[in-house]
Amino acid sequence: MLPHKITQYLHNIFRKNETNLHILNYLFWECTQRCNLHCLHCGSDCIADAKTPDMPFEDFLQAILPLKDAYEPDSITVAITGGEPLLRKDLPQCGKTLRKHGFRWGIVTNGYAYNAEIHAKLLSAGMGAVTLSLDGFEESHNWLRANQNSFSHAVKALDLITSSDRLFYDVVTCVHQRNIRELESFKEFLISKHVKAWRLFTIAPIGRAAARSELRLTTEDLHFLMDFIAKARADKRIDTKFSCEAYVGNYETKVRDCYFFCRAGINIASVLIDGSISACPNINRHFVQGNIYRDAFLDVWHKRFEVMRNREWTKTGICSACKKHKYCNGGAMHLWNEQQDGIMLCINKELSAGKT
Amino acid sequence: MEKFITKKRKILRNIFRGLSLTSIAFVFQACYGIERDFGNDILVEGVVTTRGNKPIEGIKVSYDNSLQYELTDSEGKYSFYTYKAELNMKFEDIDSIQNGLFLPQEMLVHITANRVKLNVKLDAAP
Repeated sequence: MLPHKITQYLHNIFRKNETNLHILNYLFWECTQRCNLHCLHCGSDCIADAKTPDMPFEDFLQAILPLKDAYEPDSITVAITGGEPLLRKDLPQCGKTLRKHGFRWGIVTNGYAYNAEIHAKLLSAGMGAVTLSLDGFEESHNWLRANQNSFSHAVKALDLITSSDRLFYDVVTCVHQRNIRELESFKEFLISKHVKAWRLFTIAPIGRAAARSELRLTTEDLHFLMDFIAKARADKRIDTKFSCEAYVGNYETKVRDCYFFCRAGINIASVLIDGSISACPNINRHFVQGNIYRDAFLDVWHKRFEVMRNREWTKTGICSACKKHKYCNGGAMHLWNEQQDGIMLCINKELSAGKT
Repeated sequence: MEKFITKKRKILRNIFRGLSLTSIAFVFQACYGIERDFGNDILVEGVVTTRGNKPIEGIKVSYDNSLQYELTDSEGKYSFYTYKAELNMKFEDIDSIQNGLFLPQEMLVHITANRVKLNVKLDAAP
């Protein structure tokens, strides 16, 4: 095994090369802003009756079809998100059309509307991947999701998803002060449900979560979470990982497969509900790079996104004198706001502050 | 010149791919997104007609007692994705007399390509 400093150095070269190449292989489509839940932490602030209507599928399709000339469509994963994508009645048809054009696709869902019928339809439509939100046991999950039936619905969805040999899937859990102490027993629950992959998040102070301090983890909680993930990874009973939301210093590679690398605008793009072209949907809309209703998507991808491909500007605020900046490159894009005057929070800094 | 630089970068990329021994560094997942799908699947499609080549709408096309099924459209067309290389396919008239009455048909299909065309003719019920 190479020493950590050498592998981190090599990773930096790799990251720079990937940035220069900026090959698109991950595309979010924010197909709706409607949602059947009203989660306390929603980064998109979605509601049941969104003001912006769902994007017609044909608009999205026409915008992305030129990608087939530039890339192998099979190498591009379309992550259909929202809102709750299952609220779109035409979702299977959208997916099947994408698949027939060669694109891979899947959904990010809260599972509330996921039943046997829709499961079968989505599989028939060539869906290859699902991410399901499950935020702990019934009490914790229902509290965060603000719905007393959300846990039971999500577990039914989980049973269907895990029953499929075709799907690539994972469960994501947003960790907060109310559920962090139940992670160990929740891990056993997921294993009993035959879940193979589990991703854990903290909750970023954006959208509705910005106003709820109890959703933020303390420094002690963060250490607990990192140690928990590292231990779960070591026992290999379930593929557990910390999401790629932040650089975590000495915990890097202990809590996920590879070093932190925010690929927003480097390998990841999105088409948002109003046609805006950006990277991950949770990134501040100030960073929008174009719009499919005025710009050619591929032109925007090739010629813009400079703000995400050259992140020297992130050396500001708490990052300005930080020696770790060369590793994190300014952290995750969704933690920067329109002022661009400092990252909202740095998990590595919080972890370091808690060192005894 | 730009093409040369891009080629160089792609070579460097492949070196990294080789050095990492796995594809871990390349098989990333956006932080709020799904896993990448590298599964193999097969598109099965076709047309269901009468013996006289008239398309039949509303025929249920299913396989292996799975939950998955499709209904043929007004042109008798159906299509679905599956990952299975061997299917016991069933074609059933489930809408009673609405589009005529037809006898069910079953067939074992071995799939060797990633796209299969399977047209079926159904016999009218006596």
